[in-house]
Amino acid sequence: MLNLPAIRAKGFALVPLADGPTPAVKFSGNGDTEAVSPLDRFLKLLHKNLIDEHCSSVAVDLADLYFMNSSCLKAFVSWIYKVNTTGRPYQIRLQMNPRQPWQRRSLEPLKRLAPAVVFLDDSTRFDTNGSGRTEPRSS
Amino acid sequence: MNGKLGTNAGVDETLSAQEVQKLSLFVSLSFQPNEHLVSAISRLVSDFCEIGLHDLDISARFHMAAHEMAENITKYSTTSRATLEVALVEKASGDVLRVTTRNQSSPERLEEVDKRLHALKSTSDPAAFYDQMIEQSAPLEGVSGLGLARIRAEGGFDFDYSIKGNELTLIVQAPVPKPPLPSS
Repeated sequence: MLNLPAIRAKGFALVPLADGPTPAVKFSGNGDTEAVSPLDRFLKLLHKNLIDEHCSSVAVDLADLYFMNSSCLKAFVSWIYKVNTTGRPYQIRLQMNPRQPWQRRSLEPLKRLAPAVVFLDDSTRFDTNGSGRTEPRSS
Repeated sequence: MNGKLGTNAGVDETLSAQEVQKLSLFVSLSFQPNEHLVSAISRLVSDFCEIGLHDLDISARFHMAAHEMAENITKYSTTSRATLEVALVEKASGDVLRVTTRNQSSPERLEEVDKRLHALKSTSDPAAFYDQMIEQSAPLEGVSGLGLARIRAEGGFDFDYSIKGNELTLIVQAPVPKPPLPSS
């Protein structure tokens, strides 16, 4: 469904997930300086894909993301702002790892930025075989 | 990157050798600002917290703070030398973990920074302040500027700063539980 190249770099990965009913991508590893530009480009391409495919929502699996710096957060802020100010064509579901409390602290401001666009879900099952799928539980 | 590791309480902004000797935990890094060092420095701070305090959530908060502070130095330092210190300060009211950075910057930059840091330090609602910064930065391409506001809002840290000449000192600190006693 998503026509996006996976990015696997030293320290982080950005991968479209193809095995679910709704479009999904996974951001894993360490979201530090090295990840900023690839993430920004990836999210812009993802937005274009979702618009072209008339998708109504996208899931972003963050269960295996161990850190995100403010510049990576800013890439999410820009993406969310774009969606929120261009007719809200789709919802963004951020799937968090409840074992990493920093994620909720870091992502709640994104929800406050655009409450009609951003939804935070706690993942209840974690990927152990690299397939990257998680099962969200809405909160 | 130069490092020194000390042992044993009671600091203010600049630590004398005698004061360092009284700290129960102290790490000081002197380094050439370089974006490739940022992750290494923040990991070291995180590891230091994890080993010393056995608290993953505190480690994660200090990891974030150290990362944003080191990244800030890398972006805005105008000289080849900067320092980052981590100190566990024992106070009568309880232990406090403190991260301090020092770097040189241009007078023009420091004038702008002074206004922003004063607003950040004096806000009574760090979360609302951070939300406002996110809203302001959202339409701007390639500009973050969220790092230090994030430290206060998300990390729940006390924040202070000083500017002396061309040197900027940033201090973030938070109360931490007593480290567990070593098992025998």
